[in-house]
Amino acid sequence: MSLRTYYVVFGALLALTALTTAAAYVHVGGIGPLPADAIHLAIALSIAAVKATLVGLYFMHIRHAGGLTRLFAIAAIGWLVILMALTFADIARR
Amino acid sequence: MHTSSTLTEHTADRGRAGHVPGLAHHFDDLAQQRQAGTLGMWAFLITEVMFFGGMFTAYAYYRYRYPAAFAAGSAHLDVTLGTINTAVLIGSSLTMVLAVHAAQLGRNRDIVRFFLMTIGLGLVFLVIKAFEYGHKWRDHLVPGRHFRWHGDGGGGPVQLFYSLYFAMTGMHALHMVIGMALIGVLAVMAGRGRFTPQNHNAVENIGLYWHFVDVIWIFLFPLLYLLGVHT
Repeated sequence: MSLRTYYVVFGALLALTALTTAAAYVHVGGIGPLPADAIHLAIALSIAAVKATLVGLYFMHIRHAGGLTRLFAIAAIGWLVILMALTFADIARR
Repeated sequence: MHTSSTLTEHTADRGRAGHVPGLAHHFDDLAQQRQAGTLGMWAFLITEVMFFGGMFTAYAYYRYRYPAAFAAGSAHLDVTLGTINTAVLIGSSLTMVLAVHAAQLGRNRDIVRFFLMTIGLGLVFLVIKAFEYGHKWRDHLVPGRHFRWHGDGGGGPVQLFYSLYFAMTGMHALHMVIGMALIGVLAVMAGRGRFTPQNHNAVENIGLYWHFVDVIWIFLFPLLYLLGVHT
Protein backbone atom coordinates (compact mmCIF):
# COMPACT_ATOMS: atom_id res chain seq x y z
CA MET A 1 0.00 0.00 0.00
CA SER A 2 1.26 3.50 -0.79
CA LEU A 3 2.66 5.85 1.83
CA ARG A 4 0.10 8.46 0.78
CA THR A 5 -2.73 6.15 1.85
CA TYR A 6 -1.18 5.82 5.31
CA TYR A 7 -0.90 9.58 5.76
CA VAL A 8 -4.48 10.15 4.55
CA VAL A 9 -5.80 7.51 6.98
CA PHE A 10 -3.71 9.07 9.78
CA GLY A 11 -5.23 12.49 9.02
CA ALA A 12 -8.74 11.04 8.93
CA LEU A 13 -8.20 9.33 12.30
CA LEU A 14 -7.03 12.60 13.88
CA ALA A 15 -9.98 14.49 12.39
CA LEU A 16 -12.43 11.88 13.70
CA THR A 17 -10.82 12.10 17.16
CA ALA A 18 -11.40 15.87 17.18
CA LEU A 19 -14.94 15.30 15.90
CA THR A 20 -15.85 12.79 18.61
CA THR A 21 -14.56 15.07 21.40
CA ALA A 22 -16.36 18.09 19.90
CA ALA A 23 -19.60 16.13 19.45
CA ALA A 24 -19.60 15.27 23.17
CA TYR A 25 -19.86 19.01 23.99
CA VAL A 26 -22.76 19.65 21.58
CA HIS A 27 -26.09 19.90 23.31
CA VAL A 28 -28.66 17.55 21.81
CA GLY A 29 -32.24 17.05 22.93
CA GLY A 30 -33.90 13.67 23.04
CA ILE A 31 -35.35 12.38 19.78
CA GLY A 32 -38.67 10.62 20.32
CA PRO A 33 -38.23 7.95 23.00
CA LEU A 34 -34.41 8.27 22.84
CA PRO A 35 -32.84 10.34 25.65
CA ALA A 36 -29.99 12.75 24.86
CA ASP A 37 -27.26 10.52 26.33
CA ALA A 38 -28.35 7.61 24.12
CA ILE A 39 -27.85 9.87 21.09
CA HIS A 40 -24.42 10.97 22.37
CA LEU A 41 -23.48 7.30 22.87
CA ALA A 42 -24.68 6.37 19.37
CA ILE A 43 -22.63 9.21 17.80
CA ALA A 44 -19.50 8.35 19.82
CA LEU A 45 -19.71 4.62 19.04
CA SER A 46 -20.38 5.26 15.33
CA ILE A 47 -17.27 7.43 15.07
CA ALA A 48 -15.23 4.84 17.02
CA ALA A 49 -16.49 2.11 14.66
CA VAL A 50 -15.42 4.15 11.61
CA LYS A 51 -11.98 4.73 13.16
CA ALA A 52 -11.56 1.04 14.02
CA THR A 53 -12.59 0.10 10.46
CA LEU A 54 -10.00 2.49 8.99
CA VAL A 55 -7.26 1.05 11.23
CA GLY A 56 -8.32 -2.51 10.36
CA LEU A 57 -8.63 -2.03 6.59
CA TYR A 58 -5.54 0.08 5.97
CA PHE A 59 -3.10 -0.23 8.91
CA MET A 60 -3.83 -3.91 9.55
CA HIS A 61 -4.03 -4.55 5.79
CA ILE A 62 -7.36 -6.40 5.86
CA ARG A 63 -8.20 -4.64 2.60
CA HIS A 64 -5.45 -6.54 0.79
CA ALA A 65 -5.57 -9.70 2.90
CA GLY A 66 -6.67 -13.14 1.75
CA GLY A 67 -10.11 -14.58 2.39
CA LEU A 68 -9.06 -16.61 5.40
CA THR A 69 -7.59 -13.60 7.22
CA ARG A 70 -10.75 -11.63 6.52
CA LEU A 71 -12.81 -14.49 7.89
CA PHE A 72 -10.75 -14.43 11.10
CA ALA A 73 -11.23 -10.67 11.47
CA ILE A 74 -14.98 -11.02 10.98
CA ALA A 75 -15.03 -13.98 13.40
CA ALA A 76 -13.57 -11.72 16.11
CA ILE A 77 -16.51 -9.35 15.72
CA GLY A 78 -18.95 -12.27 15.42
CA TRP A 79 -17.89 -13.81 18.74
CA LEU A 80 -18.00 -10.44 20.45
CA VAL A 81 -21.58 -9.99 19.22
CA ILE A 82 -22.50 -13.43 20.60
CA LEU A 83 -20.90 -12.59 23.96
CA MET A 84 -22.77 -9.30 24.29
CA ALA A 85 -26.09 -10.36 22.72
CA LEU A 86 -26.51 -13.44 24.94
CA THR A 87 -25.45 -11.52 28.07
CA PHE A 88 -27.98 -8.78 27.43
CA ALA A 89 -30.70 -11.24 26.40
CA ASP A 90 -30.20 -12.80 29.82
CA ILE A 91 -30.23 -9.48 31.69
CA ALA A 92 -33.32 -8.20 29.84
CA ARG A 93 -35.29 -11.33 30.80
CA ARG A 94 -34.51 -11.33 34.52
CA MET B 1 18.31 -51.99 3.80
CA HIS B 2 17.18 -50.41 0.60
CA THR B 3 14.19 -48.66 2.20
CA SER B 4 16.30 -47.23 4.98
CA SER B 5 18.83 -45.69 2.59
CA THR B 6 16.01 -44.09 0.55
CA LEU B 7 14.64 -42.65 3.78
CA THR B 8 18.03 -41.20 4.70
CA GLU B 9 18.39 -39.64 1.27
CA HIS B 10 14.91 -38.19 1.52
CA THR B 11 15.61 -36.69 4.95
CA ALA B 12 18.90 -35.26 3.73
CA ASP B 13 17.06 -33.71 0.81
CA ARG B 14 14.53 -32.11 3.13
CA GLY B 15 17.38 -30.80 5.22
CA ARG B 16 18.90 -29.03 2.23
CA ALA B 17 15.55 -27.56 1.23
CA GLY B 18 15.28 -26.19 4.77
CA HIS B 19 18.38 -24.04 4.31
CA VAL B 20 16.45 -21.04 3.05
CA PRO B 21 17.40 -18.41 5.69
CA GLY B 22 14.61 -17.90 8.19
CA LEU B 23 12.47 -20.78 6.90
CA ALA B 24 11.30 -23.19 9.59
CA HIS B 25 11.54 -26.86 8.51
CA HIS B 26 7.80 -27.55 8.77
CA PHE B 27 6.88 -25.04 6.05
CA ASP B 28 7.24 -25.57 2.30
CA ASP B 29 8.35 -22.02 1.53
CA LEU B 30 8.51 -18.50 2.97
CA ALA B 31 5.13 -17.52 1.50
CA GLN B 32 3.39 -20.39 3.27
CA GLN B 33 5.24 -19.61 6.49
CA ARG B 34 4.15 -16.00 6.27
CA GLN B 35 0.49 -16.91 5.65
CA ALA B 36 0.48 -19.26 8.62
CA GLY B 37 2.12 -16.63 10.82
CA THR B 38 -0.37 -13.93 9.88
CA LEU B 39 -3.30 -16.25 10.45
CA GLY B 40 -1.89 -17.35 13.81
CA MET B 41 -1.59 -13.70 14.85
CA TRP B 42 -5.20 -13.05 13.90
CA ALA B 43 -6.30 -16.12 15.89
CA PHE B 44 -4.47 -14.64 18.89
CA LEU B 45 -6.15 -11.28 18.31
CA ILE B 46 -9.58 -12.98 18.36
CA THR B 47 -8.80 -14.22 21.88
CA GLU B 48 -7.71 -10.68 22.76
CA VAL B 49 -11.01 -9.29 21.46
CA MET B 50 -12.80 -11.74 23.75
CA PHE B 51 -10.55 -10.80 26.69
CA PHE B 52 -11.31 -7.09 26.38
CA GLY B 53 -14.87 -7.92 25.25
CA GLY B 54 -15.66 -9.32 28.69
CA MET B 55 -14.71 -6.01 30.28
CA PHE B 56 -16.62 -3.99 27.68
CA THR B 57 -19.69 -6.16 28.39
CA ALA B 58 -19.35 -5.58 32.14
CA TYR B 59 -19.00 -1.85 31.46
CA ALA B 60 -22.12 -1.84 29.26
CA TYR B 61 -24.19 -3.64 31.87
CA TYR B 62 -23.19 -1.45 34.83
CA ARG B 63 -23.51 1.72 32.79
CA TYR B 64 -27.04 0.66 31.85
CA ARG B 65 -27.69 -0.14 35.52
CA TYR B 66 -26.18 3.07 37.04
CA PRO B 67 -26.23 5.77 34.31
CA ALA B 68 -26.05 8.76 36.70
CA ALA B 69 -23.12 7.36 38.72
CA PHE B 70 -21.18 6.50 35.55
CA ALA B 71 -21.70 10.00 34.11
CA ALA B 72 -20.67 11.58 37.44
CA GLY B 73 -17.56 9.38 37.70
CA SER B 74 -16.62 10.04 34.08
CA ALA B 75 -16.93 13.80 34.60
CA HIS B 76 -13.83 13.58 36.84
CA LEU B 77 -11.64 12.28 34.01
CA ASP B 78 -9.51 14.76 32.07
CA VAL B 79 -10.96 14.99 28.53
CA THR B 80 -8.02 17.09 27.29
CA LEU B 81 -5.42 14.53 28.38
CA GLY B 82 -7.63 11.73 27.01
CA THR B 83 -7.89 13.43 23.61
CA ILE B 84 -4.14 14.14 23.49
CA ASN B 85 -3.40 10.51 24.34
CA THR B 86 -5.75 9.31 21.60
CA ALA B 87 -3.85 11.45 19.09
CA VAL B 88 -0.49 10.19 20.46
CA LEU B 89 -1.59 6.58 20.03
CA ILE B 90 -2.84 7.22 16.48
CA GLY B 91 0.56 8.79 15.76
CA SER B 92 2.26 5.64 17.06
CA SER B 93 0.06 3.56 14.76
CA LEU B 94 1.30 5.66 11.82
CA THR B 95 4.97 5.17 12.77
CA MET B 96 4.25 1.45 13.21
CA VAL B 97 2.69 1.09 9.77
CA LEU B 98 5.69 2.99 8.34
CA ALA B 99 7.99 0.45 10.05
CA VAL B 100 6.05 -2.40 8.42
CA HIS B 101 6.29 -0.58 5.09
CA ALA B 102 10.06 -0.28 5.54
CA ALA B 103 10.21 -4.02 6.34
CA GLN B 104 8.38 -4.84 3.11
CA LEU B 105 11.17 -3.02 1.28
CA GLY B 106 13.86 -4.66 3.44
CA ARG B 107 15.10 -1.31 4.77
CA ASN B 108 16.29 -2.35 8.21
CA ARG B 109 17.61 1.08 9.23
CA ASP B 110 14.19 2.64 8.59
CA ILE B 111 12.56 -0.15 10.60
CA VAL B 112 14.79 0.75 13.56
CA ARG B 113 13.99 4.46 13.17
CA PHE B 114 10.21 3.98 13.03
CA PHE B 115 10.27 1.40 15.83
CA LEU B 116 12.09 3.86 18.10
CA MET B 117 9.53 6.55 17.24
CA THR B 118 6.72 4.11 18.06
CA ILE B 119 8.29 3.24 21.42
CA GLY B 120 8.78 6.97 22.08
CA LEU B 121 5.12 7.78 21.42
CA GLY B 122 4.12 4.77 23.54
CA LEU B 123 6.20 6.24 26.39
CA VAL B 124 4.51 9.64 25.98
CA PHE B 125 1.13 7.90 26.27
CA LEU B 126 2.17 5.99 29.39
CA VAL B 127 3.66 9.08 31.08
CA ILE B 128 0.40 11.02 30.50
CA LYS B 129 -1.55 8.02 31.80
CA ALA B 130 0.68 7.89 34.89
CA PHE B 131 -0.09 11.57 35.61
CA GLU B 132 -3.80 10.81 35.31
CA TYR B 133 -3.52 7.85 37.68
CA GLY B 134 -1.62 10.11 40.09
CA HIS B 135 -4.45 12.66 40.05
CA LYS B 136 -7.00 9.92 40.71
CA TRP B 137 -4.91 8.65 43.62
CA ARG B 138 -4.68 12.16 45.11
CA ASP B 139 -8.44 12.68 44.68
CA HIS B 140 -9.23 9.37 46.45
CA LEU B 141 -10.78 7.89 43.32
CA VAL B 142 -8.78 4.66 43.33
CA PRO B 143 -11.19 1.87 44.38
CA GLY B 144 -10.48 0.37 47.76
CA ARG B 145 -10.18 1.52 51.36
CA HIS B 146 -9.26 5.11 50.52
CA PHE B 147 -12.00 5.69 47.99
CA ARG B 148 -14.00 8.83 48.84
CA TRP B 149 -16.94 10.19 46.90
CA HIS B 150 -19.03 13.17 47.97
CA GLY B 151 -20.73 13.98 44.68
CA ASP B 152 -23.82 12.63 42.91
CA GLY B 153 -24.51 9.07 41.95
CA GLY B 154 -23.65 7.29 45.21
CA GLY B 155 -20.20 6.05 46.26
CA GLY B 156 -20.73 2.36 45.43
CA PRO B 157 -21.69 2.65 41.76
CA VAL B 158 -19.09 5.41 41.17
CA GLN B 159 -16.45 3.12 42.67
CA LEU B 160 -17.66 0.48 40.20
CA PHE B 161 -17.04 2.94 37.36
CA TYR B 162 -13.50 3.55 38.63
CA SER B 163 -12.88 -0.19 39.07
CA LEU B 164 -13.74 -0.66 35.38
CA TYR B 165 -11.72 2.44 34.45
CA PHE B 166 -8.58 1.11 36.14
CA ALA B 167 -9.10 -2.47 34.95
CA MET B 168 -9.63 -1.48 31.32
CA THR B 169 -7.03 1.28 31.01
CA GLY B 170 -4.61 -0.76 33.18
CA MET B 171 -4.93 -3.82 30.97
CA HIS B 172 -4.59 -1.60 27.92
CA ALA B 173 -1.43 -0.03 29.36
CA LEU B 174 -0.02 -3.48 30.20
CA HIS B 175 -0.57 -4.49 26.57
CA MET B 176 1.35 -1.40 25.50
CA VAL B 177 4.27 -2.19 27.83
CA ILE B 178 4.46 -5.75 26.45
CA GLY B 179 4.20 -4.40 22.90
CA MET B 180 6.98 -1.86 23.49
CA ALA B 181 9.26 -4.55 24.93
CA LEU B 182 8.66 -6.74 21.85
CA ILE B 183 9.22 -3.78 19.51
CA GLY B 184 12.53 -3.20 21.33
CA VAL B 185 13.62 -6.79 20.67
CA LEU B 186 12.62 -6.52 16.99
CA ALA B 187 14.45 -3.18 16.72
CA VAL B 188 17.66 -4.94 17.81
CA MET B 189 17.03 -7.64 15.20
CA ALA B 190 16.43 -4.99 12.53
CA GLY B 191 19.63 -3.27 13.65
CA ARG B 192 21.44 -6.53 12.77
CA GLY B 193 19.80 -6.48 9.33
CA ARG B 194 17.61 -9.52 9.96
CA PHE B 195 14.56 -8.56 7.89
CA THR B 196 14.17 -8.98 4.13
CA PRO B 197 11.29 -8.25 1.72
CA GLN B 198 10.61 -12.02 1.69
CA ASN B 199 10.92 -12.59 5.41
CA HIS B 200 9.69 -9.96 7.89
CA ASN B 201 6.80 -11.82 9.50
CA ALA B 202 7.66 -10.68 13.01
CA VAL B 203 7.49 -7.00 12.02
CA GLU B 204 4.07 -7.45 10.40
CA ASN B 205 2.75 -9.35 13.41
CA ILE B 206 3.93 -6.79 15.98
CA GLY B 207 2.24 -4.23 13.71
CA LEU B 208 -1.06 -6.13 13.91
CA TYR B 209 -0.71 -6.31 17.70
CA TRP B 210 0.06 -2.61 18.08
CA HIS B 211 -2.86 -1.55 15.85
CA PHE B 212 -5.17 -3.83 17.81
CA VAL B 213 -4.11 -2.09 21.04
CA ASP B 214 -4.87 1.22 19.30
CA VAL B 215 -8.36 0.00 18.33
CA ILE B 216 -9.09 -0.93 21.97
CA TRP B 217 -8.20 2.62 23.01
CA ILE B 218 -10.36 4.06 20.21
CA PHE B 219 -13.36 2.51 22.01
CA LEU B 220 -12.15 3.12 25.58
CA PHE B 221 -11.69 6.85 25.03
CA PRO B 222 -15.32 7.84 24.24
CA LEU B 223 -16.81 5.27 26.63
CA LEU B 224 -14.74 6.35 29.64
CA TYR B 225 -13.87 10.01 29.05
CA LEU B 226 -16.69 11.55 27.02
CA LEU B 227 -19.58 10.06 28.98
CA GLY B 228 -19.60 12.80 31.64
CA VAL B 229 -19.00 15.79 29.35
CA HIS B 230 -22.61 16.68 28.53
CA THR B 231 -24.16 16.23 31.98
